[in-house]
Amino acid sequence: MEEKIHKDFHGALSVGFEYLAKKFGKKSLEEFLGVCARSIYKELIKKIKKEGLIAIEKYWNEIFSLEGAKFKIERKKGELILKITECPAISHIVKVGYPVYDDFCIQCRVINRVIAEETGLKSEISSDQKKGRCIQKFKKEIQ
Amino acid sequence: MISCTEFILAYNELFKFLHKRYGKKAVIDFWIYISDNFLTNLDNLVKEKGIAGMAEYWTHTLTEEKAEYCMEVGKTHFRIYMKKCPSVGIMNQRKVKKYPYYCEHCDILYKKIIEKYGFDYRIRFIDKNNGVCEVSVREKKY
Repeated sequence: MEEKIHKDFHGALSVGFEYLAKKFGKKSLEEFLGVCARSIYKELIKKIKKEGLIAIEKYWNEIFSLEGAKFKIERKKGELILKITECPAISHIVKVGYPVYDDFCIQCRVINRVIAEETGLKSEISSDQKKGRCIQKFKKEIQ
Repeated sequence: MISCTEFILAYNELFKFLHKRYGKKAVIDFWIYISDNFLTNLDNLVKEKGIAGMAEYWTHTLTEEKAEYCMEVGKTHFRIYMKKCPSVGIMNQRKVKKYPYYCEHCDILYKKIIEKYGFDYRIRFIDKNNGVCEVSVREKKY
């Protein structure tokens, strides 16, 4: 059963992104997300350095299950692929009627990029914000 | 995606980032922006139901956030005694450096909305390090 979590926080985050970008520029938002990634994902970064891609897989399974996302994770040689067909953040924001910041997906691009930089991996993302879908990849640099 | 279980950590970082780059006024301006642009659900509930709307709003949010609190709902007053603030709890558990003025957001965010509808809103910070505070709302006497 899906655990009860306070999903309205996604809406507050979206408003936060909008505020930063509008008032101080998109560069400021990107810088904030970089700082945020290094702080919030410090432990995850340590685990990835120790365990490799399996640490990302465990993390994705944990948070996307908790959030009730529609997702699938695929493992290939030296590569981990996450396919989200219904982003839990976007679907909740839309359902409740909060505004969705027009580049809400910037968070995943910047956070994954920072995680990749810190762990020597490569990250790729393709997303369709309007449909709440994306494909996220982490790869080993040298294969 | 920043999960909603990581949101408090992200918000704490946002407050610190704004303060470091642009000063405390930018943080306060942000809280005002959130109050005006995000808390429209609380605004509508207080506007339509008064104290009952406040009880509805905080019962929903504090239950989902798994807070430890006592709520008192009267005809002309409303009170929350927060025994363990979930936000402060998360930051203490994760051992992150809390924005020194973190607790102040609960004053600015809610006071602005509640006082608009003829109430007096006060918050008393009892133990900021452990997340203990008291919110008191009273109908204004004219």
